[in-house]
Order: sequence, then structure tokens, then C-alpha cells
Amino acid sequence: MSVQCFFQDGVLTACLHGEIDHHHAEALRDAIDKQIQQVHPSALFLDFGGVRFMDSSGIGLILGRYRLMRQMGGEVSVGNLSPQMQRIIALSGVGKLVTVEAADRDIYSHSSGKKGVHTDAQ
Amino acid sequence: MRNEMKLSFWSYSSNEGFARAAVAAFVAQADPTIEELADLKTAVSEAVTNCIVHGYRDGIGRIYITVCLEEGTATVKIRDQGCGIADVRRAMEPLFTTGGEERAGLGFSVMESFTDKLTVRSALGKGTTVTMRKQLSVRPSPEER
Repeated sequence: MSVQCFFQDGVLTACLHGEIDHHHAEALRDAIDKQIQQVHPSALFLDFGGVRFMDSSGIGLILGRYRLMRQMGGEVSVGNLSPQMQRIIALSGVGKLVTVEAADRDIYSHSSGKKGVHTDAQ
Repeated sequence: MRNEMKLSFWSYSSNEGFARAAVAAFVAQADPTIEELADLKTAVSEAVTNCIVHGYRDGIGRIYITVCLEEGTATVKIRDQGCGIADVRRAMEPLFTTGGEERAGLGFSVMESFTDKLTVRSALGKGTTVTMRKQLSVRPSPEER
């Protein structure tokens, strides 16, 4: 499980790769929060394009980042979710808090990275 | 034909991925769809996480998984011998959690949504058993396709 962060025009993009479960959530949380504290983005985009599996720990991850960004007056959006992930998101109601970008992603596709300053967080 | 597998492991969080993969590997022989397999893996992940985060919150214990395949139905039983749940109905309410800030309280909701039938049995100080059943769709055999 890894996350690659890109910062451009006030937007921090965190590209997540691998499996998001309880075991991996804490490291992901710490890596993303470290970037947020460093660059103070006005918006955070969580890109799930590289994520093979997610359970409700992913919802906890989204909610925690939402709370942090809200404290800083920023917004959170999520995108490139597989149909499975969209179901969990719908179940959680977290779509009322964060913007869920419409995805054309099928279970085989992965997102490409965005251009901009980037740092690797493992 | 009734087929069954049992496995047990220590409640280390690094075993969550293993539990998902092991159940999926066993159920694969029933020729489930990709979505059915993903549903089961997610439900298993939630149940095993509950054992680790709640059942054995103050230590390490064993988690027991039994999977039965019969007549196109997969029955998954996940059991711990941890602290048990005081109020099962309350615990199963969506968004209810005793787990702290980053826990969403959705484990049981996901298990219910992704399987056909969920039963939870628990006794304080003794442990919790979660049983989930999922009917797998019947698809034509390779010869018929």
C-alpha cells in the first residue's frame, strides 16, 4: 500500500495504490496528513484509481481527512472508484460530506498520475 | 457435495489480507462472479477487523474461520474468543462504533449489505461468532457456454 502526492494550484492529490484495510489505514493517514500539514492545500483529492481493494476502513480514512481539511477551511473530493467502492461509499453516506467524482473506472483500470510537484510517501 | 475448510491465525492486523485471500481462494472453486468474490472478501475483511480491533482490543488472540460450500451457497463463520459484545443490536446499528476517531462504524452494515444473511452471536467475556451466507449465482458450465 502506498500513496503518491502531487500539489498544484492549491490542490493536493493523493494517489492511493494497493489495498485499503484497517492494517494499512494508519500509515496512509499519517502520510497524507503529513502532506496536508506541509502544503496547506485548499482542496484534497483522493484518487482511488490504483486501489485493488477497500473495506470500510477506507471510509474512516476519508472521514478523518475530511475533518482535518474542514478544520483548515478546505474541501475533499474522491475519484476513480470501482463499482465495489462506490457501493461502500453510498452505504456510508460520506457522499454528503465529500464530492464523489463520477468514475468511468472498471475493475481493471488504474489512474495515471497528475502533473505537478510530487513527493512519494510509502 | 459439502465442502469445508477451517483455518485459524493470531489476531495481527497483517493477517487481514491473508484472511481475505484465503477465503477467496477456497470459494473460487464454486466459480463465483468477480463481484461475488469481491463481496465476500469485503465482508470477511470487516468481520476479521472487528475481531482484531474490538474482540482482542487489549491483546492478541486466535481468530477462527470456517467456510462451507454446499449447493452453490457459501457460508462463512468468523469467530473470536475475545471480550464479546454487550449489546449486539446496538453494535449492529450503522455508524455506531466504540473504536475511536478513524473507525466508521460500518462493519456490520457492509457485512449485511454484501451477503444474503448475517447472524451475530456473542457473550461477554467469551467471544463473538459472525456467520454470513451468500448464494452464488449458477452459471452455465464451460461446455454449455
